Amino acid sequence: MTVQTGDSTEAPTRRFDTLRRRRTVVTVFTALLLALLVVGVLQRGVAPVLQTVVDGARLGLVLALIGVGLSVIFATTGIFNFAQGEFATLGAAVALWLNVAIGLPVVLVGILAVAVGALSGYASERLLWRPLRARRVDTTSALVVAIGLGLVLRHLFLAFMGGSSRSYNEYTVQTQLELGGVSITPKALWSIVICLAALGLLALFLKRTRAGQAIRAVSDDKTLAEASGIAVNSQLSLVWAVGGGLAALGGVLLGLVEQVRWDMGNQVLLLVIAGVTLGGLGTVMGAVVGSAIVGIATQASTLWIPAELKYVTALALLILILLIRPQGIFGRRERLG
Amino acid sequence: MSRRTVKGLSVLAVAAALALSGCAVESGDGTQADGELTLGWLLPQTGPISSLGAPQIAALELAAEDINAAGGANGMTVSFSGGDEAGDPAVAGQAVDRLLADGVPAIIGAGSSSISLSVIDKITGAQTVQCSGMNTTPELTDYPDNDLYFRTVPPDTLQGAVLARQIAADGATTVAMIARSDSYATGIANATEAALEEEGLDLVQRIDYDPNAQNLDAEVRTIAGAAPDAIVMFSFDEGAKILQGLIQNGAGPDSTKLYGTDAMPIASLAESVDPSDPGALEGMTFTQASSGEGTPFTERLLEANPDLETTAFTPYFYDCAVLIALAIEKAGSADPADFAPEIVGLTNGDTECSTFEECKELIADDASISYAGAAGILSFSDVGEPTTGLYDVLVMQADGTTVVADTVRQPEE
Repeated sequence: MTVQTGDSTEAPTRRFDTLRRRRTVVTVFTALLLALLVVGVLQRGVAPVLQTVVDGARLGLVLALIGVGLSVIFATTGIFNFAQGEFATLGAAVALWLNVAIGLPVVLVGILAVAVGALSGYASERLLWRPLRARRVDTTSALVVAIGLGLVLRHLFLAFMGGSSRSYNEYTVQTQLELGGVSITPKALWSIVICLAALGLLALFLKRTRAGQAIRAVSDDKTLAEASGIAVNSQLSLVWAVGGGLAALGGVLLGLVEQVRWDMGNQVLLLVIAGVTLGGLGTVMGAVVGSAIVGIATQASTLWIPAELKYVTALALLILILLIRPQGIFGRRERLG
Repeated sequence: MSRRTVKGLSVLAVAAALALSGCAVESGDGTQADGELTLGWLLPQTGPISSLGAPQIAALELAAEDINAAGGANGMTVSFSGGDEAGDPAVAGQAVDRLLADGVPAIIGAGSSSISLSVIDKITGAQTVQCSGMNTTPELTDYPDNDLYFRTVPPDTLQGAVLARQIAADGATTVAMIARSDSYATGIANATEAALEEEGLDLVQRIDYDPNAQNLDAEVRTIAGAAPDAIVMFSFDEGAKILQGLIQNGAGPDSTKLYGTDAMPIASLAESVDPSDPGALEGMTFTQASSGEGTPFTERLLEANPDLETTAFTPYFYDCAVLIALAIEKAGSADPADFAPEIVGLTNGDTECSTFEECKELIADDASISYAGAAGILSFSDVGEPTTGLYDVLVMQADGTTVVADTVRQPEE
């Protein structure tokens, strides 16, 4: 992590220009998206467009839940956790096992799965990342370790779960509700609500609580945080636990609306990375907005282009935004908040 | 010992090890040891059609038993060594490399048409025979294979016609199709589309989806939105997810006629779709390559392996193994260059025989045989695939099991 060469020494006019430029980019971009949606409405009618927006928002929020952990972990430790998808799969797999083999209700297993996810995140920090940090391993090698961890976990899931997809015992097939011309299953609606609640709680945690502020301090400047008396190691454990827990929740919700598979986390990882990078690594708002854009773009594009190309739109958007603004929409060097 | 001596000895040891391992490299005729013949298989132990893999392997083991009980192929005891195709061309390719390095004269497989297409050049390029009991894509009919690729299951141009005829007979006029974007599904979808046109039915929507897509909401909504009389699915195990979506969008079996094929895990499909309602798919119709005529093979297989979940395609893989063994017997050699040209002729001769033992005796008497074994009449064309197919029409019941409603031969007699 590079030491921040203080914004405070910059001339105030330069900082104002940066702020104004960012605001312009965001405004132009939002205007473009709205224009596209309006065109869609004029061409296809309100209902189909609204439907894709709602479907996309549901997908995007789950992606945000999985990705915000990745984002926070990157901001504080500089490690890009390619095994983040596997935390999501772990949550879904544990929930599936508790629900199908033991017979606990889905709501309870969801809570337990989050706990397992948080514990696994914490365990990975204590057993893997902290020893690597102690040996002063550089970030590229840590990246490779993350990829390797992902591979190992994925194949462990394959060995334990087998190759086929499975569903939970409850809430499998539901009749859709009709809300204002949009069809949505109750479980999809719950998924949106739970995601928003979890992400809102996370944002509050980071802004208002002492632990949250400590995490932001660590991401800004680790050395300075240490000098101010913050126990960096325990903050990082907290970050990994939170990241793991949220990803596990995302996995459970994903498994609820889709199905549970050994590589389900890895299948969405590309979209997750696209979402958090587009929105800006290191910010919760960035993770949410970026993932929502990716989700909505994926679904809405099917109104005009063949369904096989739906991911192309989302990833083309990612490339476009990064060309114009490499740190993402809300990204601001390595700042958290 | 001085350092130089140690170094010299170790170099010598390494050289000796290399030389010895060179001796262990098999020659291409597959006789790893005298009197023993190892054949290879490439089947889906993991991946989207993994539920079909274990029974197919069991069928090959049964074939080896039957062949050896009748004295082996050309006097050699047959055994199998296999690799996982894993639904991934990279993994399948590595498995094939390993089998070819072991010097097997034939590889039975793969299960998935796409995987076969990804390894066929490697296998036939190594002058090794490939025989599949499950590849149905029409793409493999004219594929340049040095006359080394065979299949005992007919191409989907035939199954497409059966499916279209069934849909018309059930009274549907508008049809929507959702297919995986891979060789198998695209092949049968195209064949079915052509057959539907011949039957005079109207294809209102066709979507080919990405097999790796996690989320198929948009595709499902589009199909359901077209409100057709019938929906045909060509999927592997992600079909369960699609069916969940169709039911939720009001296009379930109670409002629309649903059709699928044996590439889906039919035996566990109802449970996969809705564990709390075994009748969720009641009325859904499937077509599958039949195991009807010939010896009551599936019963024998289930007797030997009572835990098998399904017997899909097992007779066809059994026939692959027996056919190869008969060809080796007829040619008197396990070299693919000698026995491969015999295979087509063994299915088109004068005297019909249905077991390895029976056929072996006839071959010994110099008779021209037509092997019609577990899967019935094969009647290979010049390119090494059946010209006739037998198909079961299955209907899903209220308890999640299927019942054979009809068995049809295509082309019709």
